[in-house]
Amino acid sequence: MSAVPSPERIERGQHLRELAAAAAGPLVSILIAFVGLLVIIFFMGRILPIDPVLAIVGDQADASTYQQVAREMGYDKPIVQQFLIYVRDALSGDFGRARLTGNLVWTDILSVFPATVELATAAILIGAILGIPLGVTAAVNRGKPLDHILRVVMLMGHSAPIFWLGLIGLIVFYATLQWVGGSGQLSLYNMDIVPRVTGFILIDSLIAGEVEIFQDAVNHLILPAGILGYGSTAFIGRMTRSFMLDQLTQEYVTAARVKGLSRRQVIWNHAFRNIRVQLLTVLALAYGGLLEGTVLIESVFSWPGLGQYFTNALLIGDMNAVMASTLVIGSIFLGLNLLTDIFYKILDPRTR
Amino acid sequence: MRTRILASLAMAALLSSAAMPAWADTPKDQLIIGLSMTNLLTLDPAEAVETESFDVLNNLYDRLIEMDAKVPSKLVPGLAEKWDVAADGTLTFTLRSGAKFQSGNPVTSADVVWSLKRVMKLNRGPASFMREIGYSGENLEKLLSAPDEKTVVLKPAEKINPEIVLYTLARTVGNVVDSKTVIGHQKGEDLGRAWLTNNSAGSGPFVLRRWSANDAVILDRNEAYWRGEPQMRRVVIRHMPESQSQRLQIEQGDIDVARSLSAPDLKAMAQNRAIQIQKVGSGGFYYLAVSTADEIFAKPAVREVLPYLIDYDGIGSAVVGDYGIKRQVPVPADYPGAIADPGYKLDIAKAKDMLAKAGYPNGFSTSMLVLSDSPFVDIATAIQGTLAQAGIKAEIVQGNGTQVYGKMRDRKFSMIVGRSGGQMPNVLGAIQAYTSNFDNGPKSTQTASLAWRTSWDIPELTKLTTEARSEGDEAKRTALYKQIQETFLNTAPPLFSVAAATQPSAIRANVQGLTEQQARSPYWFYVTKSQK
Repeated sequence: MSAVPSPERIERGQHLRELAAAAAGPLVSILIAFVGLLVIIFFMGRILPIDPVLAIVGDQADASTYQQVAREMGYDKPIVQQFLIYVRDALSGDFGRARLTGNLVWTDILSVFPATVELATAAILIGAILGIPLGVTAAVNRGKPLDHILRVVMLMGHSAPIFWLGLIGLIVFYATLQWVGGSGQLSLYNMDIVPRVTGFILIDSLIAGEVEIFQDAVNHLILPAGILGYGSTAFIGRMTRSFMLDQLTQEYVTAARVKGLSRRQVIWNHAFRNIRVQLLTVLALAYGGLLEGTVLIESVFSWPGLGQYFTNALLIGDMNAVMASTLVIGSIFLGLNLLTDIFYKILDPRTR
Repeated sequence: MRTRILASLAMAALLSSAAMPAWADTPKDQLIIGLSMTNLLTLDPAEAVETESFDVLNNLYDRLIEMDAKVPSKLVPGLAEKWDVAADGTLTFTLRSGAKFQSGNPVTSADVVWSLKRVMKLNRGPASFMREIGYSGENLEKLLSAPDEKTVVLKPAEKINPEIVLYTLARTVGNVVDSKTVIGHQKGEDLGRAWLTNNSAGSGPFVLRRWSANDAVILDRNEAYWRGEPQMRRVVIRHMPESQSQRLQIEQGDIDVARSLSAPDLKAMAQNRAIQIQKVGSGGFYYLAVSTADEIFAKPAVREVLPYLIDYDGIGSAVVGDYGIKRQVPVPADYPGAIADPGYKLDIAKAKDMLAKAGYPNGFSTSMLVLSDSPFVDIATAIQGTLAQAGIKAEIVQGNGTQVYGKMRDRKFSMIVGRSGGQMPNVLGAIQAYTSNFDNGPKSTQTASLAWRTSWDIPELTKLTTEARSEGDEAKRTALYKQIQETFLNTAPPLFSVAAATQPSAIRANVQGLTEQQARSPYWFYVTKSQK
């Protein structure tokens, strides 16, 4: 081993340092965003016209019970002191117990989040696999009947209410055709059989070697993921189309065609290469949106995910759960942003 | 090319699994229930206050005495095989032999005493029900005792009809927990509260296997149950917040019971022969309340107009559907001692005339708080429409339970459409929230009283209600019940019963033993299923 590093090594080292630097900037902004989140969530919890004490003791409780629970929850202390206690706990990673379940909030989130991730990942895969080619096809055939048809299909996906699509989907594919399973992640008789390893039913069932349960899970996933995926297909497709249109009118495309390259090569090797970075942002945004915004589909399909957990927590004023859920959703967005930034550097030489 | 092969492989995998039939009927030895679990916050009997929790707890725990499944006003032996009522109201319960907790520990009188004291020490929602009959954490120490392993003695805390105490013990508050097991899971001073939130330690027909919030509650049968082994091996309750999803699944036969259906969905299934609709009287009422602290509604002459501005018939037939039955007195019509409806009818002309005499010839503007659920919003909208015909402009403000009842407890509202809960299946249980208000001041401890919440100062009615509570003679009590109901109607009340609240469920036709139950919480022990 020589004392002087080879030029390649130096280059690789520089590269890593640059990547680290690229990550450090966003990390600082993430920290600032976290602090901001903490403050906003606390004060939102105090502004909301929800009485968390009443959610626990019920409408029929008398004054004695009400006051005792309020005291136990620390609502009798001055608001500044409440805030300080809250910040201290949050900084030490203690978000307390959820009123909804009595569990530690993190335990709850770990148990509901995989369900959402499964749904969102399936949906974004459908969205990307269908949306990108459809968008490119529409752009290439601009103004032709095929373009119009695709645009109408995509517009529908963007404008039809997800809630309505979910119900119609259930009526058609579950109740009438019986192609897919009904609500929930699994048929009820399959629940609670596979031991929990990763929390992802699709993975856990395979680990346990339960192929039938895996199929049952796929059966239940297809419809909600398909409906969410249709929405993302529409979004991704429309964005792809407009990015591609920008590129296809550029001179380098004409030049490439004049040079005699095939149409296919021009579209995929030249024009599409240039929109990859923009597409990545779109995908990341769409994925983030799916991870936090599946409340309606989760309700229709009784999907035990984060969206429902969060909504319920909000309805009963369970600020511990709301806070942790918001932090999770916030960190997902920040994390996706960070990832996108890093991918930018890799994909786009100009940003290095 | 390679990608195309991969894609078609993936497609084939998806299709083949989609083609797999996954829709058998529910298993014969499992009861599958669809329920919106949004309000299911705890399974600790000392803390639970919502119907959804009561449903589950009723099947995990036993009480000394129970309300009969079919005739809930009848008290039947539970863990106590018999009980005696002494002349001074002292209750002596004799426990049955052979009852065991799921841990295998025998049920002893010490468990009963510990459980009730635990309720008072924790002082959550259910403790209010014990305080209502005079008990406190302190006096219970002296009044409740276990002279031997099989005997529990409860002395009265005040002069009270013993029946009221018995009814209270038959409710969730009287659930007996396994003291040894719970103490073993105690954290600090919490008396096992954290652990019991999602674990069970009862002697009932079922044992809690798993509860995951917003997903499912799974119960396994207790093979050693003292009444015998339940027919259902498992009871699975799945969280289904959407009425339409529940309807689709019960129509398909994927669930056996649907507990949170909307009125239109229930109506749509009325003709379906595979499904039976069960309606259980709750003893509670949908009401319109006005605050007598409000400048306008403080005037009795204005309050007297309101019964003529409510379309009782329309609301009873079209709006509440299976969720209620038209009723103008806040006592279910079939309770012994209930008086007949006074016969109020929507009469706009008369109401306008009365309003003019009360000083509001052109009506007035006000606001109406209402829970954003069905059928509350629908009732409020109907009332808003008829009020408007007499010139009263009521702006509807929607909110969830804590928002609406929070405002009501703060006594800061003009009008509210809400629902009362029946405390026990008799006249007093239904009406006392409307007719008892000891202290109309802001510091009153009786914050659950609707009379207090509407700032309605009624010393005379309160006195009558207290008398009825302590009257031991049945004939005299019935006479008092009649007097209370009539006085209530004749003193320009700020509370108007619109309909008696019922809890409807849709049940598959092959499920037996559930439809005929009339108790507010179901007893799944009696359920059997036939192949369809």
